[in-house]
Amino acid sequence: MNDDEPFEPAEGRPGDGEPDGITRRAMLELCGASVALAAATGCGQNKRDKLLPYTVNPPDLTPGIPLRFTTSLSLDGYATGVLVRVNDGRPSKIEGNPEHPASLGATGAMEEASVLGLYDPQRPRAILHRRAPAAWPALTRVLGQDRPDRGAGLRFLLEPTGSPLLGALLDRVLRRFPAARVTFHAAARSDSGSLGAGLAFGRPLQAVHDLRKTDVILALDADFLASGPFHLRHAQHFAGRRRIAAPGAPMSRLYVAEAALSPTGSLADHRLQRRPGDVHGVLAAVAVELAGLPDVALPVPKEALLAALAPHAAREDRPLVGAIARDLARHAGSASVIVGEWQPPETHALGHLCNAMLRSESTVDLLSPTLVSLGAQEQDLAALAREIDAGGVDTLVILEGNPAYAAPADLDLERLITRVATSVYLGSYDDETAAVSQWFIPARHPLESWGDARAYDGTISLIQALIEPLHEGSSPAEMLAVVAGDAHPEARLLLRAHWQDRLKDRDFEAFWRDTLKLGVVTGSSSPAVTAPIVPGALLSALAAKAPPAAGIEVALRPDSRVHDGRFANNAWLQELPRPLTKLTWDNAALMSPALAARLGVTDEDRVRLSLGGRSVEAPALIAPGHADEAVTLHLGYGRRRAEPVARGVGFDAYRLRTWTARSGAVGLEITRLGGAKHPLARTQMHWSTEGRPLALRATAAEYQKNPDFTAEQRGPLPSLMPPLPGSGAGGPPQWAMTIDLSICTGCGACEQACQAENNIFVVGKEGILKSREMHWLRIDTYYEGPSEAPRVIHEPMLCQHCERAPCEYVCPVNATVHSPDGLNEMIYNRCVGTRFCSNNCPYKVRRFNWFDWEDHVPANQGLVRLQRNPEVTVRQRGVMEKCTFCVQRLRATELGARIEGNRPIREGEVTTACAQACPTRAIQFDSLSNPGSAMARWRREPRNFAVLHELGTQPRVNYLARIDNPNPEIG
Amino acid sequence: MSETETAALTSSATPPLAPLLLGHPTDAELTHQLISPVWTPRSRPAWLAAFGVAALGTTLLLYAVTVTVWKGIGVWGNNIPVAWAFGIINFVWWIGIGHAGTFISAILLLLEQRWRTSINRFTEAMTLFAVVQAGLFPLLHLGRPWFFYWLVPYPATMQAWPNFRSALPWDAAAVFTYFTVSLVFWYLGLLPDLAKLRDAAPGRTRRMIYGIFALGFRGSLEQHRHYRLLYGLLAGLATPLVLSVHSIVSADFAITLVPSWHSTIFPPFFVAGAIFSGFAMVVTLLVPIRRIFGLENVITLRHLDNLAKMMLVTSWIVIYSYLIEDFIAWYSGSPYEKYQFFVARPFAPGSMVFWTMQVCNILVPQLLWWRRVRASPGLLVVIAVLVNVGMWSERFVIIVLSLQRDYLPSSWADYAPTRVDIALFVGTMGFFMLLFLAFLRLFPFIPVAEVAELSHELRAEEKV
Repeated sequence: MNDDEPFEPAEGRPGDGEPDGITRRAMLELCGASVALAAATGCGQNKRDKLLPYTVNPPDLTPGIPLRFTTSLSLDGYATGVLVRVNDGRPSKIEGNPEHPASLGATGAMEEASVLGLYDPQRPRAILHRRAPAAWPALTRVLGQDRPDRGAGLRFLLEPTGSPLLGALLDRVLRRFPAARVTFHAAARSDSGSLGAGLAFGRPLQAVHDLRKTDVILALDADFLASGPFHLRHAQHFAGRRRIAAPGAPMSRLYVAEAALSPTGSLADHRLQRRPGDVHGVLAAVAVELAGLPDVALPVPKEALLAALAPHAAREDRPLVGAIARDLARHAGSASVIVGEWQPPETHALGHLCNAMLRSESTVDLLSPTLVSLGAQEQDLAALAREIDAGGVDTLVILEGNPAYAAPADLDLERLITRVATSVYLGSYDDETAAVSQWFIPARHPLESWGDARAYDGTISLIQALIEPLHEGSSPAEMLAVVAGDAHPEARLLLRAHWQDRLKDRDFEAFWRDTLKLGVVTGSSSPAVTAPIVPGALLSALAAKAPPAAGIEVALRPDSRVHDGRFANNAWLQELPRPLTKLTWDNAALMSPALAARLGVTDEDRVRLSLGGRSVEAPALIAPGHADEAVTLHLGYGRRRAEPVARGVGFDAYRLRTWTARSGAVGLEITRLGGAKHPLARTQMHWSTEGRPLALRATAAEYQKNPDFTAEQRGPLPSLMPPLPGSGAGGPPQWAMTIDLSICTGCGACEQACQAENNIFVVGKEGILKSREMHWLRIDTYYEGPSEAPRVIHEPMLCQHCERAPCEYVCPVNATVHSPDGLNEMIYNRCVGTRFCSNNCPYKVRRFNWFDWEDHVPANQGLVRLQRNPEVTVRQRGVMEKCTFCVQRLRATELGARIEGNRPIREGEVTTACAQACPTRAIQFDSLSNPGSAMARWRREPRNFAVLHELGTQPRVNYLARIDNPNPEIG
Repeated sequence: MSETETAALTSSATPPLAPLLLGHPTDAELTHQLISPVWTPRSRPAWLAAFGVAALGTTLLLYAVTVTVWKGIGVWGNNIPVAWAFGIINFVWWIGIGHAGTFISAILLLLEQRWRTSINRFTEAMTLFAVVQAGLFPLLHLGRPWFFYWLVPYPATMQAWPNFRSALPWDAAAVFTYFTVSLVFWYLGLLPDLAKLRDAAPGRTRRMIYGIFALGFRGSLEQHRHYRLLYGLLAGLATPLVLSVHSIVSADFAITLVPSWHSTIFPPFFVAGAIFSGFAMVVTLLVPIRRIFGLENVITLRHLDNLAKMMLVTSWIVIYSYLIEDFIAWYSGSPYEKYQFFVARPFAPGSMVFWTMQVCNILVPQLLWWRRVRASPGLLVVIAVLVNVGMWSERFVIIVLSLQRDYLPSSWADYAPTRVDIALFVGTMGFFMLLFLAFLRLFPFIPVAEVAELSHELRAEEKV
């Protein structure tokens, strides 16, 4: 995959040497080059690095053959390594980098969708000064000038970062202006983790969970499988322990306490619905029970601990938490407690204590912080706001993050920024912060930037530009370099200089080449440290923590799609259904059925939410499995000065967020507003299987007792149709897919990857409301049991590539036919659009082009066309489309195999975009002729079944029934 | 059992039925009465108003068609899972209406039912115009209507043939055949009257036009013999079409897996429903026209009585089909079928349409058991209109409610028509009316020659 040459401009390539004597041919080449160069210089600002066209083609570059390059995408300071597919110079698809610890080859929805952001037509294109176009030199004069006050009035506000380059540049800046101060702030990160570690260990260590060895997990308000810095890694490792290969085989157990159902919670064996404020009580009760068990080593005095935890622990049901504690203790050494980002520091500290009691040295690594920290020269956002208010700041440099929108409402940064004499904002969009700043500089997209970054475990990776910047802009590194005194900084040169300096005598060029090729700096992860629990501070903090107040608690959480609002203009993410609610193009006030009934509220009713004198209006959405007396709101919507895609989408939950209560607070008042409902566009409206055998499940014990519980949903069926050609081992490929429901979290990464790979249009909120979404792959989520405490199951649903496909025989024009290698093929240019096939598809996976979507939906227009995969037809109005099993990849692989002496296609040689992205590897794709592949092995398991098997469609997509592992002690 | 025998049987218990022809008009009187509307239409302002309304409806249709073709099917309310909706409902409804004409002209001719004589021309025209409306929908319904001909087996250069396993190419062929045969049959029946028009035409132009269309028909014995033979043969050809068209239309549904569509009862069920709605439409149109044009002597209460009885019979075939459908759904044990028939239809969104269908198709026709109802033209029109509402609802139930609730609950979604959907439906009614009014204006809508023949026969019987 990553054996391609690193991307470099053509300098130093063949053709660059001094010509001995000019031939006619060389003369023409030079002329061509000069013309291209002249054209290229018109595009960028202060460009001194020249891009020349190839005069002699480099050996690896064939027009039409995509290349893959490594780079990293950072979110709130932590990097995920990716491979970017580049088609003739255009980045078109993000894939996971197997070498990077935060990816392990998988990608999340945000990474997949970030490629669309590169081509967003609404990206700003010019530097503005007081809203008028301005030039870069004017800005460098302002930022780079000497200051007599040693920087006393100079403030920086940037997102947390682990980048060694930015760290070094900040050092340079602070050496030049020692009195300047730096604020790191990310709306979607809390500092409770490091504060909690401070309480537990006396220093702000970072806990990294190694789920490869964990058998029992207690997750407290922690969606560790689908959000947070290492979630892709967690998901893959968790799935490895969770996937049960045979009846009676060991599998891990997961306990979750949380308010709103999360992807992690939907996989839990036991899920405790608690208000976020009550989660501490669960952990306290578990800790009390653990402390009472005989062979648990307690690093703190028992009496003091019990006294400190008693008020919290008393609220929990003893038999339940006792069973959890005993289960954890039984697996001491392979059990761990994971505390969520938004829990208070005390809960994190108590989590560390429990992990210590569970001898978690091998399952939890403690690392020194991997983010850049500047000690006394750092100040928090509240301190910065106070200083601005006091008039002590004359120059404020904001490097990304849109604080005017995303900062806590009580700090009122939007107003404060206007009071700063010189405010400079580097931002991705001309947004709320740009509107109040004097200077606005468009930020480069990560795919057009150079830099470096660190993963959650400290692993360093490089950020490699994959395309010439589309628009004028800059990056945080360049901005800091300007402040440090460089007149014409260039990120790539800064990066190279930094690493050259850092490596000293090592062969820099070799390092540069190898690192860009691999995507990570080998051996750069932070070493684990051993840290004993420091009882004093921990116990006093635990004792001082007040029990939660009564009342409705509001939980403010980053959104699983638009995050803190930075992806609000990304139409893919807006349209990607949120896990569990299937909501698109909106956020809503999630509440339990009981609370909704008490308030007399139903879905889509508008409600006013008031908290501490602030209020917002929101549509209500009843979320099965939500904790009572709690409301979950997602941040990142309701942008006040938004780009066209984000405009008018959702409500702004930041209005309820205060500096001291960033995760939410108790005391929410909800008033039902009359008037028209607010329609919510959801891709699924019915949540019950109606007792149909569609998504099968059993407990591990039941599976062991009756391994053949799926027998009625698999096996041969009598048919009047002629027999199908066999698919013997080693024969020609017969493509098939197996999906394990046990490890599907419903996160939606597969759906997003499919959209990016297959040029799937967005249809907008109107389209979703009319049930016209175009996603080829969807995740069906079914709830069973009482709506207060439902059991959830996710079932990715895509074209099943039925061997006896009902769609094929009803098409009047033979536009959907079967291929010899088992694909149900769709021939777009033969389709006349009768939609008969869709009616006859029992899985309803076919999608129709009701309009010319490009013409009909503005989000499909303009520059975003550059993202499209040239290997996939863009479908025109009036034709049907559906999953193709990524046929373009299959055919490319077949061609390769044929060129290499007509060899058979190897196991694992090709996979679909969905299987490639899946964080838990729940989707396996291969040919049935490779019986050793995971796909083929999985479908030989007894829990294999086909959805709607009784119809005799003989689908090529098979599912493995979900197996849960409930604790027999808990009834 | 012939009409006279029926009359004889019933005469003992109840007053005798009205005769098929009132009075003893001479041929000249009859010809004058039936041809005169072509030359001197009555109530000119009212006729203009009706024509204006029809033209307005046609304009609406043109607008809706333009919008649909210009922007795409997205302007309709269809979605996934309800990929078929108003378009196909209207298609089946119009095609169904088109069934009465051929049934009356061909099957009743072969069965020597003399009461068909006065109304056959009229119903054949209704058939043709209904099929024209019906034919619009499958075309517009295509995602890419400009490639409609790909459904037809023609020697394409790419050697791509239609898929003969699908019902749709058969459907296209059946509808086209039906239209062609109906047109020829109607035209053939019109020949003697075109000749009469030519002979009676007041001006040279009209005489020329009618003369061309009369194809040289002179009414000689030889010509009459050939004419009768051909007419009979065509009737024989048209008869199976009455059964085949809607059987094939029903295959559009019956060959699928969709719960409640996947059923072997569909062909007879659809044919019965089609004839049911066709007769209802005949009554709806016949009663007002009989009154406006003062044709009570030619279209007697006897005709209305027979039409009403046909409605009653076909309604019971339809009711029987409903019962069998429900029974099979229960007997199949399939959770999908049971859900569709016993939960989705009576209770899911759109169930109001289901209940409308129950009332209009099951309860309302039972009024026709009473002779007094059958003898009341006003009541008959009300019942006929309700039956057509019911039959439209039936197609809505079969198509939309089934698709709304099929196999995977995750993809269930509801359907709501848009303004374009409604405009298309109303527009086809306007276009139908426009064609029909033009027909009334340009041709004798009661076959003059045949009625005269009937009159002679009746007089001969009386003498015996």
